[in-house]
Amino acid sequence: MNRAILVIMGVMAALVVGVGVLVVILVASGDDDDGTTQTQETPGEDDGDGGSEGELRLRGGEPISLDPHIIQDSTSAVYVVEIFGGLLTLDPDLVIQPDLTTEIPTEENGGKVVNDDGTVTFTFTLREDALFHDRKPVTAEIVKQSLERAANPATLSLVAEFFLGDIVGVTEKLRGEADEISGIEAIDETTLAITIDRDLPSFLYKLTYPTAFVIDPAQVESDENWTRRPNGTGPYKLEEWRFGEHIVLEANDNYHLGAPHVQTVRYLLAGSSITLYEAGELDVAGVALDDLERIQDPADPLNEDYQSGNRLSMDYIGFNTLNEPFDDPLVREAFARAIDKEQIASAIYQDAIPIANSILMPGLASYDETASAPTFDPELAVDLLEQSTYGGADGLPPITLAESGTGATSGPGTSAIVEMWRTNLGVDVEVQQAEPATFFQDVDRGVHQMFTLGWIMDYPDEEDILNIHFDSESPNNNTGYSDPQVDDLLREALLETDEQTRIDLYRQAEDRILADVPWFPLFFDQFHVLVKPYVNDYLIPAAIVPRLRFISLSE
Amino acid sequence: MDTAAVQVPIESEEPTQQPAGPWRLALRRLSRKKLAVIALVLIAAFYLMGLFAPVVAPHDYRAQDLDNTLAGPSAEHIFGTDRLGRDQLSRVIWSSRTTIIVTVATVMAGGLLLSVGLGLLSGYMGGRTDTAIMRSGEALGSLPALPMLILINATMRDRFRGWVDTLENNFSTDDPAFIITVLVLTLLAVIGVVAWLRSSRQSGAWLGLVFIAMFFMLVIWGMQAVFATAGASDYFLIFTALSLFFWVGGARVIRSQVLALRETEYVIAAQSMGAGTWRIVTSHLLPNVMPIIIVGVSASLGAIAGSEIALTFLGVGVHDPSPSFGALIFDSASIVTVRNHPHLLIYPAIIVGMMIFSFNLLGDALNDVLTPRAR
Amino acid sequence: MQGLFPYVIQRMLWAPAILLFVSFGAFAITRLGPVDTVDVIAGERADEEAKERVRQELHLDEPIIEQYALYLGFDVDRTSSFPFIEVDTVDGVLTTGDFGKSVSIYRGFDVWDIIWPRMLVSIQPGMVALFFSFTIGTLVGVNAALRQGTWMDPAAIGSFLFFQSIPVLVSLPFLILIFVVQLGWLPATGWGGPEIDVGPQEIALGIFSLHIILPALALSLPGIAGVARLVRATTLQVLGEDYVRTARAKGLPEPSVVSDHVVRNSLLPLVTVIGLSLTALLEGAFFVELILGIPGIGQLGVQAAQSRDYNVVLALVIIIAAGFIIANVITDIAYTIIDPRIRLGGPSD
Repeated sequence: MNRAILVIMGVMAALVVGVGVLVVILVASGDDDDGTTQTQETPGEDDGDGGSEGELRLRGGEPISLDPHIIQDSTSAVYVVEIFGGLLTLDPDLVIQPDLTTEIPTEENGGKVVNDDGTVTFTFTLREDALFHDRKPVTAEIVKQSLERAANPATLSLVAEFFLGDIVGVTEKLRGEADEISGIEAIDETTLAITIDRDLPSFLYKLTYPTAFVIDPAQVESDENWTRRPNGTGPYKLEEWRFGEHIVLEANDNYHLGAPHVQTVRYLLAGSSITLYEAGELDVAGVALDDLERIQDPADPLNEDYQSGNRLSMDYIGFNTLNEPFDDPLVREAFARAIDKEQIASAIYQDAIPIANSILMPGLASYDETASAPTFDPELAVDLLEQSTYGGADGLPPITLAESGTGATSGPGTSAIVEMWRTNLGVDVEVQQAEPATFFQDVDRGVHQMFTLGWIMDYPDEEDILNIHFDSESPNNNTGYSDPQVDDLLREALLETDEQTRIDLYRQAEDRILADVPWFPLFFDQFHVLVKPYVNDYLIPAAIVPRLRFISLSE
Repeated sequence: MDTAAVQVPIESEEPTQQPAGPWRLALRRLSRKKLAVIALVLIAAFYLMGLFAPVVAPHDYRAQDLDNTLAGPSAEHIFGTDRLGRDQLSRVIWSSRTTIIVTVATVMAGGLLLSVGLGLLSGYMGGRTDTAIMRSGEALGSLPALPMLILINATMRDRFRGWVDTLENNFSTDDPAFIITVLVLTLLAVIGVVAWLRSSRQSGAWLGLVFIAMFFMLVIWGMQAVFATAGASDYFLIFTALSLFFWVGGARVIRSQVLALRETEYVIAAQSMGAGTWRIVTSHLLPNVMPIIIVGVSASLGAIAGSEIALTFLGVGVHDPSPSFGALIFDSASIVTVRNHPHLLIYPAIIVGMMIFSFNLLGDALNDVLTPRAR
Repeated sequence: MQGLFPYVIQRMLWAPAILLFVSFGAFAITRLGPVDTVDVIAGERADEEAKERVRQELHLDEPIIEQYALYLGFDVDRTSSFPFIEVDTVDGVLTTGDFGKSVSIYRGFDVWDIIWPRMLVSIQPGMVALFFSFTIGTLVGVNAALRQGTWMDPAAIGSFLFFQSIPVLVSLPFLILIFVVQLGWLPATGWGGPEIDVGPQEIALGIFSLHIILPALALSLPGIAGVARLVRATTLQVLGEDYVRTARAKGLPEPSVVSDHVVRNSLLPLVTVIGLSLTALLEGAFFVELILGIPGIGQLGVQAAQSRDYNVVLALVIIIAAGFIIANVITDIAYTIIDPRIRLGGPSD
């Protein structure tokens, strides 16, 4: 064509190519320094007993960190529970099992001793075959140092208080008042004693959480980027973490609880699950709501791969009992009874999400099928409003429903609920969205009148949902709810060692709470996944626990 | 054939005349461009649809019908229904309304004032004013837009809402003060037009008065409409912030034009005659820069509509309950949804695509027409 | 006219001041507002004592100026004796080029290690898009101008305008549906290709794989339309000039004359456009990256802002601001060289 244009194009192309080449050269000659992840060399046999083989490809979220002492989100936990381990663990049925210890300390085997001053000392005996990925043995001293590190203010863990705070001396260390945790003692190479300040049945659960996991103190001290090649004790080792792309885990064939069956697990961190699954690049994919109807249809080819299961989480509406108009329990109940959960479940969620009529969810020991939150009854709802101190819909002040989110719209469930209040009660509720951090802080400060929220349990104990939210003195009580009888029941249940009594106490507490409606439970959560036929034993535990080593591939 | 030069009338009372010729010429040429006419018609249709949304929309855009969710197009619901059984067509119509209010208000109040004003000043005054303005524009413009908007939204939103609420509570459109202000402005505008006509369209000053009066009216109307539309005030905050970051582009262009004009005989003559800065700016510079402004405005309307979608998607734009295209697309743009319920995305996408396309077309045509061209 | 060299120096002198101002502004914004980074990390677990403790460790309770100085690498302490402050140098941006560690996105990792690989990824579709915008845009523009009056002129520009008008958010899902799901021609989303070690980690050179097609397409289209209009306008203008007619009358070959003038006249606006596009390259295209799952800098920027990761946000601001300033200086210089009429001083005396 025109010469000049050709010249321009030529120059541009040269520029682009030139810059590209320059960048490549600069970059490729960059130091291969402490930044890269390196494969961990395991001297000796490369295929342990059990012959791990094959590669499993899953879709995962991008973790915030692989440091077990600072994470508190489920996305990071997915990887951390496979790479690291602690004294105790939860099996896929959420039953406490020993991990680095030989057995769970109980009063029968002498592992648990109640002292005269009310404190309780647990004695843990470490397994002889418990090794780090680099074959270094796990000693009691290392476990102690690991816990010390978690409770070190410089580690910046926001959850140390919660998960380790029951141990004597931890609070002091976190406050900078002590250099060492007095309640942890390494008696010899394989014996560790941990003393807690009172007899708390739920304490052992807290030890199964990553904050109590064992890291390699020598590595953490010497290597600034240790989380890129962590030396853990878990069934899998970190092979590579490429930000935004993938995380690759390799089997630890020497794992003391049994070598994993699958050699490599690759988590893809980006891309559309269903697209990748159908293209054969993913072995397990989550099913989005819009695809659910199609996949649940027996005629659909993907229906054979479909699995679902319960999760220990729920959605609810919280009413601030200290703010108008929800300081009046009749108003709370009225709003609760105006919601037709059945219709929402079927019209919007394709009946894929079970309706919640209680706060204690299926999977908890105290779960009560007969427990009942206020049911849908629009006429009764209107009556209740009229009976309340506000005399009816007109007497109510302007009401806002607060929601967490950064998207353009509220979830369809929320919009449907707001509309139901409009048609069934004649009340116009405004929805206010706030980004998560602001939202949580406002909820804590009691700024809102009502809010919609979810709760995922960290471990399967009632304390983690009832005490934490409904004890009037709990810092996580987000509704200002205060009932002395409930307080008594909850505190008694917390320390109750007899299982059946504990269940009864918690159920009683729940009944009162449900009747008072500081929370109105909406839905429980469920898993919906597609699993390729050659993947066996793909477990979907209700909480984040190690499970990759049970999966196997057949082909 | 026409030449590239601007027509200069032979007789003129002042050497710095703004002839009516080129404007009429421009309009005529515009009307000859078929695409431009189509674009204008489309834009007018959108605006009317938006303005008369309460009348035009077949259903209440909030009315949910949980028995009839995600339905495809039908006689009753021409665009189908969404997840809550709401009529898509009505939601699209109301979304147009939101888009119109918001884009007009923000362009007028935000972009124009800053870009034009500062560009003129910078170009004409030069020296330290120029440096100050250009450097600060550079500083603001060097910030990465999206992260900054998110941060500003997160930190300032509540406070801004508070101000808007106070404003809303203390002033209303029934307030006598408001009505009087509007009347006064209209009066000024009318006087200005009459005086201008009577001076045989010679006096730029009167024209300037008209512009200013109309400008303030638009600003007031815009602000009032924006704040009245619940949820749109958030967007207004964001767009004011955006204007703050990006006025420098438009200002630069205007500045370079002014720099060139500054040396023309008209301006030099006016200066030697003792005309003040204000007069020169309004009578000589502004009218000559007008074509660029018009082109710029029409082009940015399209861009603003596009970014509303993007910002709302990130939760930084218009919020519930105001229906907006951003919200409609947010609900429907995931791959999964597109596979299963394409109608949720297709219809809003077509409408908004046509709208942005019309703005762009118009901008393009205006560009052709208003800038002196060969042939 | 002012000398060119002094002008360049003068412009460059402003750069550090602007960078300082801009970075401090961004720094301040991240600390404004009802919640801070620790609140963001803590999420629902609202143990105030724990949060306060972490805040102290992160120096978030100190005055902003001191925090900023710390960030730059200067630990400022008040002392009781003259001169009342004591400054120690620590690791910081100005002292060791240390941009700090990420606080909420990738806790504990060096900010530079996070940003650098992502920038290299984002640049790839950006460069390709830039290339296509200019080459195809120029071709289309010139052709449209030459065929003015026929249907092809408005058709060419119009169709690209049309593609430009469809928001990326809308067009990409459909494109994916067609090319990835139904036809299977393009790889399922994400990024891939030959790998290269860039220091902190390896990245994939998607530019040498099929993964580049969708993002480059999405990013080029707006650019093509813009460049085409520009080139078309100047071509038209040139074609009508007197010297062209003279050249024709003399029988000189039209293409060379036209192209020379087209080049000269369109140079100025093109330079501006290039300048602007370069910064777009640095910023990355957020929505394209989000929908296609490309681990780029655009995505990181938004994430950093949403989680109030101030170190990452600041590093981004500084890098992008620096790029922007450089681009501006070059553009201004180009203006001066190309159009001598533009004087850079006060009004004539």
